[in-house]
Amino acid sequence: MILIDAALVVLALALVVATVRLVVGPTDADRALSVDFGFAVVIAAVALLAVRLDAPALLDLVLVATLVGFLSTVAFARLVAARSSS
Amino acid sequence: MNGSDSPSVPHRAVVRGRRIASFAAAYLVRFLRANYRVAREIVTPGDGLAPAIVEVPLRSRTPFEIASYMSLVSLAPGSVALALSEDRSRLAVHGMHAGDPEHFRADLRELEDQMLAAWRPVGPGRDATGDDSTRRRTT
Amino acid sequence: MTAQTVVGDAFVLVGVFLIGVAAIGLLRLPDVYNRANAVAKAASLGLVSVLLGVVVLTPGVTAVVVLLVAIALQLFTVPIAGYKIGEAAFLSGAPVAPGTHCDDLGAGYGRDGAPPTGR
Repeated sequence: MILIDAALVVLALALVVATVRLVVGPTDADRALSVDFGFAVVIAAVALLAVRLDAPALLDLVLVATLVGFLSTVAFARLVAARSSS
Repeated sequence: MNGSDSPSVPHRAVVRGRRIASFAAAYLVRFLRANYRVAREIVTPGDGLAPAIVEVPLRSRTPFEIASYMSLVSLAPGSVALALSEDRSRLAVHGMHAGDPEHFRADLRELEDQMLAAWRPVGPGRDATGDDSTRRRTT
Repeated sequence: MTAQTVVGDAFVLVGVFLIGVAAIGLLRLPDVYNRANAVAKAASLGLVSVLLGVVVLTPGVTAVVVLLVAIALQLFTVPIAGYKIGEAAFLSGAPVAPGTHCDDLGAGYGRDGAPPTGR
């Protein structure tokens, strides 16, 4: 269990990094990328929490978040591409 | 595959299965090696990057072939497809370790060769560029 | 300490390491293209590895099926998300890092600007 606790701390730090890049990011594509990265980190954290808290119901959340993360990334990328060309 | 006129259908299936298996193995090796290389590049200090944006001519023709080729290029770290030209004949690819663009291009071409060999049906006349000229969109 | 927990912990460890590498890359790499190249895929691969570890650690058929579906979806959607981000950067003409070799891309890529040479 100590390993999963340490893993959750690492994921929290990764989320901080993603937030920094979201604020700083020189281009909008950077921001889309950091949102995508943040989604991956949150999904990993939820899966680890399901093990840590012994709550398998959280795994359904993993499945849904995978789909939502993909759709939001594609939508964000399209938005960036469309706004630049107009 | 229309197999009624040929006695060698089982043989073809074996050949095709072997090609697909060897392609999967080759891609797995390529994928793991690219992962290792990119992870090492990020972790070790110093700047070993040699990024490049190159244009590769496509020999994939059908939408399925093009989509799977772009997915395979984009799945491995270190190379990502950037844009497909409007006539679907060229692809712009970004590479992280492409100090020699010719070498990088040859590497991508090798991947495409393996993929097309695995996915096109085995048999005379349909191997290379047989029945696909009608599916190209003319501009 | 059973063999099950050892294997599961190993997968989780590898996955979290890859996500950490991706986070460092998000800070260190010089331009959007390199970041889109490395980060999206390293992070997703780390995620797949973490999910595999959870598959090993979690008892129950339902959990395993749900996680395997999630892993398959992840592997299919990763390249598409990476490509869309790269395309967005390319179409919006994001500047490349100095020292990038750049082919002379002709017209016909859906944008009429010059190639994205360093600015």
